[in-house]
Amino acid sequence: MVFEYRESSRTGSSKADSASPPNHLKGDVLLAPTDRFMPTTLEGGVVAFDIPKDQVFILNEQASVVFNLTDGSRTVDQVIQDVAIVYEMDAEEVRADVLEALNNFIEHKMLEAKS
Amino acid sequence: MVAEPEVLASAEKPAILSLNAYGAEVRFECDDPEFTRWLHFLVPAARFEPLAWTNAPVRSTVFQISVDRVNKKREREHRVTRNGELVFENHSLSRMQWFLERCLLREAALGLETPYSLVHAAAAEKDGVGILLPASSKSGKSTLVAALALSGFTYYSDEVGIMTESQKLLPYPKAITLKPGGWDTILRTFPSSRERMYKRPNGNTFRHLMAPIFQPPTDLSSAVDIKLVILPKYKEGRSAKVKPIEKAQAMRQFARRSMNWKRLGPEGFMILSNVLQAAECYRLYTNDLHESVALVKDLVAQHKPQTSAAAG
Repeated sequence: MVFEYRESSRTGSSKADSASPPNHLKGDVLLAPTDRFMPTTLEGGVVAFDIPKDQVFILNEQASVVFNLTDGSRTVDQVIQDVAIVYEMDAEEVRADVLEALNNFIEHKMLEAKS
Repeated sequence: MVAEPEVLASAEKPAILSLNAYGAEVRFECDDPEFTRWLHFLVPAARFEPLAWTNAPVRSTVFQISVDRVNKKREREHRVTRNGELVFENHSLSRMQWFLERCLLREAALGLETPYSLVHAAAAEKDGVGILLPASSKSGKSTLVAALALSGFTYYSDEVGIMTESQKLLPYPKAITLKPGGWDTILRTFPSSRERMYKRPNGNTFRHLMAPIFQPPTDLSSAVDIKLVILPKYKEGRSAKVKPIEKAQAMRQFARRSMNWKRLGPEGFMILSNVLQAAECYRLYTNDLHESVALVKDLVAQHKPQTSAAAG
């Protein structure tokens, strides 16, 4: 499973901001979208506008599934479980890819831990 | 009625071309009447009559154009000043042409009262179906839209798609700029277009095609809805082919080709998203123009609005 980000850069660097992302996400953390992005779902995936950077992130179908599940109501473990259900796979089979996707979302400030 | 542009020239004073660009009044003053006449062909004022919804006070901008001025290094150069301020200086007439086109577009766009998004695209309309053709240079979009205009489609633009927040398409119908391969193909495919083809005296390799005159929308509600977003791609030696693409993929092209994205920010993103939500998206591989036009006509037939009689 590939969780792909494709970025349509209008201005500035495509690199994430300097804040270091967490290397390890705990399973009981609730993740929610930040206010920094304006996401919308189109046929083929989520497109999200990074307001401060004037950039668009285009998520592929798999990344869109993960992003849409992180609505602030699910923990990391629940997101992994739900992704596994969507793709009819075991949770352990998708765990590494989902964690990588979530870390990327956090790195790009699309998601943040909800306190 | 559409007004003819005012072109004045005499040996004593510079040629003057006054244009109405939606809510803007643009005045080009040039020391070379021949260049002004060419500019007149390039950006026909008649297509830019103020529309009913542009009730903002008319803004007036004056561009002074100096052609073939010799500078201190004895080089020929061309200059443009805007309201007295130097805004362009270059040796290339082609670059000045491009610059003046952009100046007029900017003034026209600023004259619109409604929020709008500009995308580098060709645009056309047929049977109530607005068609946007976003693409990079050398993709064949100008040649394709010229072929559409010569095949019964209403020409909107070969350079910019103006989209409103209500997913309406507005015309920016400058003369179609064709590169050598493009005008050669058009002349071969549509021999009668020769009388509409214009080349600037002492000019460059481009030629300009005057598209048929049409009546622009009189108000925003009568402007055409964007129902088709088609990404054209010229493929030599291949048959024309069309295939559906995902809207997220089309957004990638929109984002790359947007001309006022940075200024609009989230508002511009929403306009583009809403346009894509409402339209169907396709990739068109184009080579033979008759085949390509036929494929676009098929798409229009699939997406044209139902008349009330047909719907009933």
